[in-house]
Amino acid sequence: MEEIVLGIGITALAGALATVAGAAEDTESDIGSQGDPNSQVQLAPQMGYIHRIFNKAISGEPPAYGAWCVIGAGVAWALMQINYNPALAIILGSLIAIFVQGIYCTSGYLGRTASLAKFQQPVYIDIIKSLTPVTMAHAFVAIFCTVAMCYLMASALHHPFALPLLGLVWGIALGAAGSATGNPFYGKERQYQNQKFGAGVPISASGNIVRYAEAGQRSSLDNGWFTTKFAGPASGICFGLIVFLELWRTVLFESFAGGWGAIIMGVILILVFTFIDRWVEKWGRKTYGPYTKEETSS
Amino acid sequence: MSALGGKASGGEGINPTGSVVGIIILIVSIAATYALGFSIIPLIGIIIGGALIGFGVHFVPVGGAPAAMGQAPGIATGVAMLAAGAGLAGLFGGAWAYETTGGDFLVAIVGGAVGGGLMMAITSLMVNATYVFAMGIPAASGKVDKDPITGDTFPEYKSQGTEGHGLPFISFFGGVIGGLVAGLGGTLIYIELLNVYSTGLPVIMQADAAAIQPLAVSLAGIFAIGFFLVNAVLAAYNITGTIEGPHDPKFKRVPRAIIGCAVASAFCGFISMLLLFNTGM
Repeated sequence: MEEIVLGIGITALAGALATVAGAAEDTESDIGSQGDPNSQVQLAPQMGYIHRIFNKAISGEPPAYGAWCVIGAGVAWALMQINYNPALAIILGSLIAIFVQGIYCTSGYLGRTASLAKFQQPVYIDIIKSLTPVTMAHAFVAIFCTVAMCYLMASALHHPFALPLLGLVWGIALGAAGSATGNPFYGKERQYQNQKFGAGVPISASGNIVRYAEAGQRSSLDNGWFTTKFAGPASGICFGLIVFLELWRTVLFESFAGGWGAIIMGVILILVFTFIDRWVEKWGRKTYGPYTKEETSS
Repeated sequence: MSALGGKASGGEGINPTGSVVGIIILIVSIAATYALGFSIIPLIGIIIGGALIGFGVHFVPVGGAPAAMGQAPGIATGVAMLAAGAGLAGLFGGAWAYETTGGDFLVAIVGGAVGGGLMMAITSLMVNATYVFAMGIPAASGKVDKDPITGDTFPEYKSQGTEGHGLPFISFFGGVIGGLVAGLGGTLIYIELLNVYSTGLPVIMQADAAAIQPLAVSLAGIFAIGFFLVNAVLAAYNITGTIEGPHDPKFKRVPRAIIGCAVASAFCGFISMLLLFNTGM
């Protein structure tokens, strides 16, 4: 019984860490313009729209976060092997990981922006100076929380994978959840704030991203401020739910029916999310209605 | 011709020459494994697991960059990476179940499948929640006029100048099925490799089996992740960009991916077995 109570506590803590990690990951990727919407940041100067948005799509978010979390987890694991305190080891591991991230950010921005030289897009040194530390800080929160969560899984819940392997698995899952949930909000709602609300961006508008703010030119920091209103928390909820429910169903129900209890609970959860999704879809159709009458389009 | 530059029609079918060459590589890999004195049963499991991953990836609705602007339906990230994220979440669950149940094969692979499916269900729900509650955009498919499951019509819900947006129910369903199948395949590969390394490594390293177990688990885990990425990337090449799910005409290309993934898994599986090959040095 005591073990189950401890398991539930660890599950809740891991879920909370995952929620913070998801929110920080998405905010980092929006300030640094890491995900798919960066295609528009790269495209804009080619269409004649010079801007001051950070441009560092080093790779997709899942492999990038897989790499950074495995560096953080690997260094932390190595330090723990020489008897470092786990908290200190995770902090040091995350610090080293964000230095790698910072190097990638800098080279990513310089390389990507320099490739746009023939479209007269300048390389702004002040952008590197002011925004790289901000993305590093957000990445630190995301990596620290993910590695700490993996440490709990390995040490308290006794998952068979070693800490670095858990870091790789959950780093990739973190990037997948964060980019899936957060990208549309940054890509459509923020970059194309000048387009109509409640409709997709027409393909003809591609590249015409918003480049000016209330005063002066828009900075990527403004994008972080905007996306933390929805995309960050939504990504956090997404990743937090994934981690929490995956652990919860295993910790509580694995012992039932020779392991089938956790599977049955997983299937029930999938069905619950399916019904919620269908409700959301129907609510959207009913509330916003069709763009055109049915007979004209068919 | 679609507005995004790619043909909306299905694939080019199976290339007979390529397929024959692939099948020869597959047979040679199996024969070489047998000739070196290894059992071919784990390799067959790995090949099936790889083919399942390639099959599962085709179900996952991936919209890539256009989806991030609400220009095309699907989840706004890369095919390979999303499938890997879901499959690895499944692998996490499957490996854990295998450990806690003391090696129950069926519970582990079904547990892995459910883990992948659960990850995709939550992610797909949050994608739709973002489109509907934050962006005010209803879901609409660009490839079919009617949802094959719910019967919802799409053309009138497609905003002007786009190919559709969000995740219609058929795409959500495809995502969950993709997560299930990919999670199952990944866990199957992990268990096969774990069994091979658990028995082979103590012999070759002349050490106690219990002492070698963490190394066997880690090696099997790393190789399983590697297999995952190999097969997911191969399937992504077959998809070429974006896919909406099982209703997308591109889904017809799936036999080609299954052959490709089986061949790649056979060769990579052979390489992973070579780790245990005793050269006598």
